Amino acid sequence: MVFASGVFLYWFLPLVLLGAISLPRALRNPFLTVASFVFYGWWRPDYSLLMLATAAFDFGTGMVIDRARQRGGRGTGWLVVSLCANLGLLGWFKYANLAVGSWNSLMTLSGNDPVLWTSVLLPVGISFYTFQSMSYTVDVWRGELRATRNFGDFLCFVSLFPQLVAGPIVRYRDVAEQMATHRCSLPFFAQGCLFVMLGLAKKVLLADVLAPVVALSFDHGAPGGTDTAWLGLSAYTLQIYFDFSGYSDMAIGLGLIIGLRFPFNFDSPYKAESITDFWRRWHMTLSTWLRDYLYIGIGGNRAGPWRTRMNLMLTMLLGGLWHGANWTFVAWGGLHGLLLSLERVPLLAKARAALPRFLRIALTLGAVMAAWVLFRCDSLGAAGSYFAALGGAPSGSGTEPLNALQIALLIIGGSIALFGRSTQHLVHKATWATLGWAALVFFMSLIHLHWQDHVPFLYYQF
Amino acid sequence: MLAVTLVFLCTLILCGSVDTLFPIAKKQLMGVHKELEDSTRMTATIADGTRMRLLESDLKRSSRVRSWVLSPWASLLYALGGCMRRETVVGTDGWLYLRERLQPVEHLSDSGIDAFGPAFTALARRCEALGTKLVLAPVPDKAWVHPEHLPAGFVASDAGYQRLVRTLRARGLVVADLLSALKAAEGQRYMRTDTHWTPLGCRIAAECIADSAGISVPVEQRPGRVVQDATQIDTGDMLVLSGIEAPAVLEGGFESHMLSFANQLHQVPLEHIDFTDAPLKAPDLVHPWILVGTSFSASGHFQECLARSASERPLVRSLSAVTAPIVLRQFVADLELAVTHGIRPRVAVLEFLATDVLNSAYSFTDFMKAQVGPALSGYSETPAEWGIALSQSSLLVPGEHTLGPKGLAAWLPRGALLQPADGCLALLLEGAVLAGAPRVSVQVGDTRLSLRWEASATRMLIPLVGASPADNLRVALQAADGARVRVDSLRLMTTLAATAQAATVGLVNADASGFTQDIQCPAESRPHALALLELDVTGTLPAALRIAAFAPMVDGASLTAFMDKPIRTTRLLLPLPQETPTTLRISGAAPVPKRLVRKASVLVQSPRG
Repeated sequence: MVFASGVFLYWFLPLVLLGAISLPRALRNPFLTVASFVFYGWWRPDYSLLMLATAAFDFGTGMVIDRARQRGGRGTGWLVVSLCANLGLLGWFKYANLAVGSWNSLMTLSGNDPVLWTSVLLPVGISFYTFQSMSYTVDVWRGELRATRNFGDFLCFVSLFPQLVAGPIVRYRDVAEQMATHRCSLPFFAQGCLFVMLGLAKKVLLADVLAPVVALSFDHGAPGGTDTAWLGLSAYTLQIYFDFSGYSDMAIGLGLIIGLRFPFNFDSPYKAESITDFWRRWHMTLSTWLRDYLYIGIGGNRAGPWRTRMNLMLTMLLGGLWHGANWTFVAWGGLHGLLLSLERVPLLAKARAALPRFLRIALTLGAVMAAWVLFRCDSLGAAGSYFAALGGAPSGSGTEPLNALQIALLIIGGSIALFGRSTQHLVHKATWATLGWAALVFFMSLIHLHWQDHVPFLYYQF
Repeated sequence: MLAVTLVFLCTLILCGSVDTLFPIAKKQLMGVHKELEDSTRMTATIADGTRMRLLESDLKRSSRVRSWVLSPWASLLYALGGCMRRETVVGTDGWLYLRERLQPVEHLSDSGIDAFGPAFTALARRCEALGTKLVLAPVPDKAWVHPEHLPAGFVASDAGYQRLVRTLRARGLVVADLLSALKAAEGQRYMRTDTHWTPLGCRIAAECIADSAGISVPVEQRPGRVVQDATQIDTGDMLVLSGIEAPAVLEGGFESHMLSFANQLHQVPLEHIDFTDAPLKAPDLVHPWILVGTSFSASGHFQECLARSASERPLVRSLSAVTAPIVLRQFVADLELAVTHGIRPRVAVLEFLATDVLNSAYSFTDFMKAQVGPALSGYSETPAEWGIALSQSSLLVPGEHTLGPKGLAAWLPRGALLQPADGCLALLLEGAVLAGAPRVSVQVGDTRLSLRWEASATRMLIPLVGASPADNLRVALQAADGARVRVDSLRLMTTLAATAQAATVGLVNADASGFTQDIQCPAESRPHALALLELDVTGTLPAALRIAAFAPMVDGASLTAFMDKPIRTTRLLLPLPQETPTTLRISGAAPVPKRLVRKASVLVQSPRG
């Protein structure tokens, strides 16, 4: 089920809210768990079993590790088992196709027969709930968290529908206490409503309207001219931001509505003055997860500047690979890793600091946009052609002109992304004007939902 | 805080409640569309998500809120920024094109085109065996004929079409090159906001098809002049596709919508060809032509075109089908139906969208193999046990059914009911009454026939006298008490030739309250004989008149047939028992001036042995 659909908004959500409000505390989490499984299994119920198995396995290993720690040990062996199981599962469902495809390319090149292979279907949200579940066992192993004895609460945490399929990546230690005590309250509820209304508008009115512009540039092999390539890239830069941050806003809002505070995921990322700053503002829960569980794990910045740069590069490469089984994502992560490393070169850092603020923002945005080309294209070859088109190389023969609405939304979206305030700021400092605007765009989003075809959230594919 | 909560919750709950409590009735699908829908629903499962997607789709289609907001919102978006749904490409001067037909996909290679050639050849050979000439008419895309209004960046390449025509002709098939004909002409051949031909385009296409079929249409008789109808306007199907005109819902009629704003936004005056100066040449001949086409708009013009030029009356089947597989399926079904009726169409025109084939929108070859082959080779023209022609497919789904007040209904669209020149057309219902007292209601055009299905009867013959290709057929099993029936089949049946015996009596028993008359029919030795009861009417019968005819049934039960108002026909067809003299009784339940119904005659027809 998707948030931006009639069946979710008109039937599922009101029923879940009714249950969450009216049921006694003891039944609230079981009810939310059942609702979350309905939400997740709506289109493929069999994959719910996979999530159940993941949760059960990590709950068990968490208990064993905790017991080992109580006895004076560390339970490292069990942690390794847990990591292997989680990463193995992720690897199989997400990367087996890439691995076999790459192997077959090599075989074909060397004149051998390729391996016969039936593609593995990717369960929605597996990257997100695996990371959430895995972070739990790591935290228990580190001693930062006692293993929970309540499987119901843990299953509810892993499967919680607001953030299940596309984040934010919530860690159990951040919500453990809330899971036992959460309840609906009017302030939370109102804030949550506002988050959902604004998030839906970001998704439906901005991201979805820009989607055809992006498709025209990226989906037809050649973007069709330099101007089209730049327009398409600009549109994609806005589309992915409003799509993903819209989803995150809705997730945070839905969490608040049922009484849970999730961490924020975006903070006006296109206002970032450096790539380091960008990653403090973009998909914040992923960047902190990678920092805490990967970057620090492999040494962080504790072993000198070169090792730090290597660690950064490795972290970003794996972060890129986490997004999808395609070399373009690896290249995207690699480019970000390279830029992060360069920002740590003292001479370059000094030069950057000397630039006026608007120039720093423009340079950062330019670099981020260049990386989006890698992120969006289907192959490295297509990305190369796209870069060539951006640079003025002839590519295609022009394309369909934008309509007035798309042009207006490009301007409006760009203004919001560059000059607007973050959703959390708008919600926490809400005025009557904010409420009025939110209500208006919410109504428009609902109407537009009826008109447009189904446009899935971009991050569902990860 | 309270305000935002209330706005949020009230909106969602209100929308959900309105959609739940006041859903829009589901559109009644018909024919092949219904078949496809039923098939999709039967195969949908929860495990693979198809059932939930169907549920979401149903909820969306039945959404009352959607029906309120869709059209105004779509109109507003179009008016503000020329924003259409993704399916539509907005060209210059308000011209609209379908995106899927402009996608720069790799067109099929020569060998790719030739891959489905054998299927076409097989179809042509089968038609040839029936004495029917098959004409293939690939329909070109609007963008190939009118590239001048395409937006920048789109290139309309018709090279694939030329290769398609060349490849099919190389196989000895007759192909109407509509693209060349349409391109050679001047004037607007496609409508601006619609995917269809203008009357001029229809005329050009019809004449091109007629030429390919070997029908010479004298230039001086080619009709006519295009005139604009000031009273009729349309928005065009591509605006409808974008939601500017909300989807009409069929449930005993068309539901009105809040469309005044939307409809006025982009109206196109409808045009037609004035045929008044080109009188019909041979309107009364029997054997029809058959055209099965994707182009709804062309059918009328094609019919007119051929009617004025050919020595045989054309029957034109126009379909509002969206995709070629449906058209092909219907084409085969039509052909089968025609042959079942004892009719040999001299020419069958198979019209299909060239882009569907060239863009490999579906596996054309597989479809032809799966659908066309078996359907054409499997039917039986004259089963020995019947001595009559019987269609293969059942109009009602076989199985046990519990009948509610709405009943179980099936129907055939216009063009399906072809009365043979020397036989009778009827429906044969086979099955059993399991409980209750069901009735069989048959409506042909405006005439309704209501029969009781006796518990002892396992086979019912339902006459369709007076039906013409201009009539729809609707047949329904109904019961007020939740009766249960088992349906084995409901099929069209035709006697290919008949022996006839006549009995005529004068209506001597007519009075001010009505009339009653018995008519003796001689014994008939062969099974499945039919009595054609004909009333000799000198004027228009009163609308309130209800005429009943009583006859023993084939299986020994009785049958009472009614002609409800309004009476358009004065004929009823009744089944006769074998080898037993029969008395038919007709009665009129309203005052009928004697002078109106002067006599009743019975024509007994029995199947060819």
